[in-house]
Amino acid sequence: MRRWLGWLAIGWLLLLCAVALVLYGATPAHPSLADQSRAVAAQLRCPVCQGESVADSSSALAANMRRIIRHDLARGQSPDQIKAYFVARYGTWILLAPPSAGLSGVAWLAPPLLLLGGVGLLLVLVLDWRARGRRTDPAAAGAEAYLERVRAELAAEIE
Amino acid sequence: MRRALWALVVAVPLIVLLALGFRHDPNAIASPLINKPAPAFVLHSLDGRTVSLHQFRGRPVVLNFWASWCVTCIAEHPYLAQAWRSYGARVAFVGVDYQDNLSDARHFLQRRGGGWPALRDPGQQTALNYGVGKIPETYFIDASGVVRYKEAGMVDPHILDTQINRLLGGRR
Repeated sequence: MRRWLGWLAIGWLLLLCAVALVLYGATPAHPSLADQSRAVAAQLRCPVCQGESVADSSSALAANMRRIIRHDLARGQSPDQIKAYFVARYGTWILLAPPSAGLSGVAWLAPPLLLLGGVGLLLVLVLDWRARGRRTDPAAAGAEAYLERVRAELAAEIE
Repeated sequence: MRRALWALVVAVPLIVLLALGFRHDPNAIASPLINKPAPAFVLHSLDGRTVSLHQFRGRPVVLNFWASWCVTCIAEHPYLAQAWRSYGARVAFVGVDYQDNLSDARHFLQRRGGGWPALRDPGQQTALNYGVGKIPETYFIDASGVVRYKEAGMVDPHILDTQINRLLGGRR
């Protein structure tokens, strides 16, 4: 019964996480030009700042980059075309998230692989501990006769 | 023994990765424009002339992004002036004033000299077209209009001579 309750709690937790992810990731069906340009600017690194996006930076260069983004979106260019313009000038360094293709793809693969590796390691360790526990359990190791003798000796001592 | 082996298996690749990472300068970003046509521009100089990159076709161009407020630009200016005098008409020197005040830029040139065109860059469009980040940055463009080298940071006589001689095909 208690085990079922545990599984139920984990199920609820996963469901809540999934709902939160969907709500957080939800985008309006028709984002405004300002929303679109902010979304593109948020994906670009400010070239004169330390780890700041073009959307968040107050530098003049970032402001001019935002102006170009807005202008190009208004002209009908896609976010990918605008990002490609900056990548052609600054390289993929300008993208805050590394591209998933090529060598940079390792950056995307590494976290899930490390997570999987961690879970695997944990599983192996838990199984190993359980097996050791069984091996060192006197009853499981066939030490019942020995324990019986110890008990008898103890009883004799007490008497 | 097995534990030591595992520690080695984990530690050695980590140390190798860190060693490689620390050897790499995170600010040294290779320009994707190298060996590509230099982005064209038509800009106005501080004294009101119209200057385009195209008008220098047939001559190597040293394109320097600078500003009067940039301390490193003050340090490299004498080297640029020296190279400009030394190479004469064989090489075109062009300065693009980056995010600067017009009177400050004029005062800078009056005080420090420099007879090559100094261009204004409204909206930093040309700087963005060249992928300029932190100035000074200098682009070495060959006679056919192809970017051959980018120096992010200060140029010195050695860099200027090496790159200009490359553009001139070894002729000094």
